[in-house]
Amino acid sequence: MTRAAAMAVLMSLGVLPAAEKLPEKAKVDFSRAIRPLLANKCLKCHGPGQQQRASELRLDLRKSAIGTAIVPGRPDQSELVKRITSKDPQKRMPPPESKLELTDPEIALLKAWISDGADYTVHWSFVPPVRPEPPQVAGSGWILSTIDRFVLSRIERAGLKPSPSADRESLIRRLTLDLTGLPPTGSEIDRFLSDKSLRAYERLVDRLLSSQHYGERMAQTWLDLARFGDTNGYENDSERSMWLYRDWVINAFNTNMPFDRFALEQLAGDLLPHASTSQQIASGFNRNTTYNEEGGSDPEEFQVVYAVERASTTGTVFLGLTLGCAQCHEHKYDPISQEEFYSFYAFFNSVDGEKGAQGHDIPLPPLLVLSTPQQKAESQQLVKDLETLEKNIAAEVAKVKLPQLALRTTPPKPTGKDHDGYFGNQSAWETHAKEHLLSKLPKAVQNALKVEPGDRDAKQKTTLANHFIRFGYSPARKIFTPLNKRHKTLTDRQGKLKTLTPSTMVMKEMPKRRPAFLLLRGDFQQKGAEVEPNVPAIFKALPEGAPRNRLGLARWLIDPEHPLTARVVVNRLWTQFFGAGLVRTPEDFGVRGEFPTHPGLLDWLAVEFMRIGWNVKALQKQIVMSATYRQASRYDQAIGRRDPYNRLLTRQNRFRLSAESIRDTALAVSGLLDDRIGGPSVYPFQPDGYYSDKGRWKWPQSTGRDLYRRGLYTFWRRTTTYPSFQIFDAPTRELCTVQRPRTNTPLQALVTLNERTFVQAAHALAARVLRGADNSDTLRLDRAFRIVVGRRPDKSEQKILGGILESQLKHYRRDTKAAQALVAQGSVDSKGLDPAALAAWTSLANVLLNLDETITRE
Amino acid sequence: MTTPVLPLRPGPLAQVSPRRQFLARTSGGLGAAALAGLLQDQLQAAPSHRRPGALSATHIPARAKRVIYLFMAGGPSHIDTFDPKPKLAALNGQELPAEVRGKQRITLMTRKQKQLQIAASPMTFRKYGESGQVLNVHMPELAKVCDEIAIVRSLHSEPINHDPAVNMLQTGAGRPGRPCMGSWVSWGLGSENRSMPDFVVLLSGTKGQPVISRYYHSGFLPSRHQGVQFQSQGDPVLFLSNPGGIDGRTRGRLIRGINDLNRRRLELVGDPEIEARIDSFELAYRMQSSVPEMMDLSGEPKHVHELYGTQPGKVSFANNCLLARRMIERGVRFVQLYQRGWDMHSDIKNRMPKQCAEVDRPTAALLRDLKQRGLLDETLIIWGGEFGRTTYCQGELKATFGRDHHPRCFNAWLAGGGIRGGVTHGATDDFGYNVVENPVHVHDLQATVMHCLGIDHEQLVYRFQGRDQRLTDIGGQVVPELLA
Repeated sequence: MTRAAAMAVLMSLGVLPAAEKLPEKAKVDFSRAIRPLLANKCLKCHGPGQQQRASELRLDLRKSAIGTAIVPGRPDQSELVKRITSKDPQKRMPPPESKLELTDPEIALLKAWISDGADYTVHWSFVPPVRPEPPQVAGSGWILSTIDRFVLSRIERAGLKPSPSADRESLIRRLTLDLTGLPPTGSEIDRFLSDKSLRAYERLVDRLLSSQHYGERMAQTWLDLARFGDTNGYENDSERSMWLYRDWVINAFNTNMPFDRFALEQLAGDLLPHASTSQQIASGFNRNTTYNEEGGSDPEEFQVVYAVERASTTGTVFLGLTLGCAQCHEHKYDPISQEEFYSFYAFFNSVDGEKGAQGHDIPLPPLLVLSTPQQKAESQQLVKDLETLEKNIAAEVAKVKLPQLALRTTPPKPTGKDHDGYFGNQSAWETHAKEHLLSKLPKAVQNALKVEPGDRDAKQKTTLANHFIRFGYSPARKIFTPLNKRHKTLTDRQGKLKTLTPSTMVMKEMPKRRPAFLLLRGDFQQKGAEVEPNVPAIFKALPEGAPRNRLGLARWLIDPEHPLTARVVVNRLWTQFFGAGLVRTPEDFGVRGEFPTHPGLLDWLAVEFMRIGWNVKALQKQIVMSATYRQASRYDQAIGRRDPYNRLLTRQNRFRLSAESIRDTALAVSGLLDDRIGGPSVYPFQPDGYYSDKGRWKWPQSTGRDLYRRGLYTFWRRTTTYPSFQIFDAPTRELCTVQRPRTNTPLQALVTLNERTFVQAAHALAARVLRGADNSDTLRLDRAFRIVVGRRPDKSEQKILGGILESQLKHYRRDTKAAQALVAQGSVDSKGLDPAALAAWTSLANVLLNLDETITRE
Repeated sequence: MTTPVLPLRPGPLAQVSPRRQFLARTSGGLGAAALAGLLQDQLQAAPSHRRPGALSATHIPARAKRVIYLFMAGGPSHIDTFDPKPKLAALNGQELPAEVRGKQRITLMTRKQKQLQIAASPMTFRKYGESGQVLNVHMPELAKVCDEIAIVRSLHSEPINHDPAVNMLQTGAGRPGRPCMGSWVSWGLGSENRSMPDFVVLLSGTKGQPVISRYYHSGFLPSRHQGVQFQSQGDPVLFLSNPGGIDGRTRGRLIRGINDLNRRRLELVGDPEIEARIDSFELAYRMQSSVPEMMDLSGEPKHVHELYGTQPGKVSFANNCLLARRMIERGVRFVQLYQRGWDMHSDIKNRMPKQCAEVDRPTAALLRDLKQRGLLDETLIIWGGEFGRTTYCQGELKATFGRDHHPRCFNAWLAGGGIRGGVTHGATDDFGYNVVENPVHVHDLQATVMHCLGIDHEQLVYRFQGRDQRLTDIGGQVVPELLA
């Protein structure tokens, strides 16, 4: 088999990530073709993983492989080639019991690579990106930006053409959904369609990038990475207060905080000199870890679990590496040793005040407690008022002289006036108090009561007498009742204020670092050597004198020479606009991850991103201004067969909206959406009894406008996610999620057909259309359709819509009971509207909200 | 020689091809067939009613096609159910010898106890059946069919707290994030029916112990393979009922409208994903009638209710067992029941007989009923919890003592397709504290389950985070002694 033929076969199997023509003499690229092959088929035994390594031979290291196993230039003399082509099962590699097999093209490729000299190069993503020269292309008429040169060059090499630009209605809907997570309104569409200037599109981009909803859209994705949730996870899953962190993220995106700053404040905001409140809140990124409250859990075990989780998450989010694999053993594929993992872990295991495990419903320190200026002022005023009142009460108490003999009298039967606990003498009150009040009394009073009257010391006597005067002595009742009442009002308010004052979990470093150890097999009970906080050796070392803490680590990550951070981030930003990254395994840039579809473009974007100061909005603007982004998403079967995953980007991708965005869209088009930004999480409709099978939790359903907030404000219970989100692939957020799957299931259809929010949205949309200015059903249908999908229906769609409406009008005119029942579920005022018409339009709106196009970004 | 499975790449487009294969064979349109005799339709399911899984063929001939997993949540005490330790009677109240305890960790609930007192079982045991299986006397019905079951006495695991331990049984790892057994099976083998989910979860028992959805989560597999928990309140499948004022006929009319418009869009933009959406709406519509029909136990004959001890409309393990049989009949691939109430930190003496009584009759009924219908041969039944319980009591030894968590040894039993009935496999020491013979790790149990389904557990893999992930993580060996 020739090398070109071998490569072609592998490409067609998706083993090699390319779909371009290859010259017959092309040199085999180690990084692209050979390393993944070795990683998949050989490195399990001949790789960095010490425990599993079957022999001393390491195929990931040139110095080990070259010699007998590989003789550069001489495949016929290389033991490796003899072994992989041997018919003898004893000698054959990979061994038959491994169930791994090399295909003929793979063998041909290995031979070709050895013939070429068996060059080893460092894995591409561990080499810092260098700004590449944009390629020359033939079809320059299509080019709108540098990005397009990279994309077009590959399309041309494959002998294909890019798609034409999408029409304007598609463009504004795509852009608005991509940048704000909401669909455009009718008037926004009108304005864009009527703007004939050359800059119309750019103006639209600028407007959307400055929308307050931009931050919400960006936050939604970031919160998956940050594994933000409103509960602790694990079995008991108590609630926590973290929404200030969520709002910090929204605000950071809205104010276009440079990404390096954004990373720094989240990883080490608490360690910055004179850390501001906002920076401390940001440090909550590392507190989003789940937390185990189960009885009998070992705190030490879970302290380890939390630090491991932080190290893994940091690795995934900023390095795009699966560091966590090295928790129990050396990383099998990437050059990360177990010791290096625990050195990285050592940055995260010294959280001051964090316990490993404790009971339910307890706040988890370290906390930052925040109050508004008003709350602060009120709280101070309350303290003052209470002080004055207590002085006042003490003075009144001092004035009362108890009858001395009272102590010796036998308790009288309570008279009418005394039924409610007031007595003429202390001893009677004491008897009563012991029987009825004991547990409710202050501790000091309780203790004094338990002592025989004769044995009480002076302090106990005073405590008791004073309490009796205030709360039990009938003659003084008139004086103390109003004073006590006022006292209770003030202390109640104080308690209430405490619950109103938000708190949030933050990071705080122990004064002295907790020692960290390598844990054998990841087991917290099997401590190995002590390790110091450090970064893996494959990367540039921490600078001399840099602090060995999260601050030092964060600065190291955002160093422009770091090979991964910028690449990983731009790859995710790209995903936002194409539904898939340039590296299709955004969670793994390591040896086993996919090679970029456009390596030059990825590096160009990464370098550009750093050049413009990690400016997120500016980079996004460059992406959406490109011709690549603006392409139509129409699917061509012939090209689809050739490039089923659209790796060449010959069109835009068409993909389903996120769970939250599907909700937001229904609420927005119906006019129900409450678009206030931020605040504590809310509790929209959830089926009654949804928790009843599962746990002890409550769902205190919100009221009023809070029922119609955007999806990202929905209370996020990690073990039992909000059902309509979970059905649409929202992650649990127990762990960092880089990419949500996008599935298509009947359970999803049931959500948009029947879930209460969607039914109310249909009703509201119907009322909105019926109250509009249009005076015929045809016009109304056009309008309703356009509100929902952003374009006018064509003739055949009009016909279908007309048919549905007609049948529904007929049905609900005949069955007025059904009409009433449907209309009764709405939440907007429908006074004056004909119930039959409203019901028919509600079911029509239900159809519109369920269209594939409605929940898809095209 | 088996063909290795090419791992599917994760990502937004990963599941395109199998679905396209299916779509190529289905015709659109919601015709009369969808409205007509649904059950009959499913029983005579034409091949086009299947949605293929990731495996084009099983690795080895499948002995079972479907699974019912009776999960006993909380950790049933092995010493008090299937693994009697008569020698403990003489040692009752004495300290557990240090050499038996070894260096294993114990939970904080008992770690601070001054003493770890041996507590002999308050249960009575007897031998049953031709095979002589040993059970406590509070499972008289199971005793009658005990020749059908293979008991594992030497199961062992690592996690010592409920959540990670349940996760271990379900997903092969204590930490969260991985797909559970039902999801792997659904993904690997695909669907056998077109009007029901592939993987259904039912809950029963006391509510103290939470059963969280992560236990039946699809992890990194496409989320369509997640367990669908049938709710005990309201709609069994979430949002199954139409809103008031929309009856079944109207719903049918509206879905036809939705799909007419979707088909029009498909013509214009050509995205095959729209075909899948059309299909989803049709399946949703079919589920609206097939699920209530399946959930309705009132049509079952009296003798069946007597067999199981079921009462229509009630939430109980018995009802769930009968529902499991009905689901299996309709081609549901994996039914997972959770029965809570086994976490006996106190009062084993009184709680164990009650708990056994709750599960005994329905479990035996399920075995009998399936057998009688000729379904037991192709259905694998698994019974067991997340760990066993300690030989020593929690707190001081008193009549109402309880036991702490103990993952070092515990029991499970298997029955049905591919299983050799009447076997007792493995053994623990005289204290019921350590496995001494034929240890079966959780991964081994999982490998065996997969084996019965025709799956080589090392070959059903999914590439995620650079690794070819599998249910059994890095372990697992099939236990041949359990196989027929």
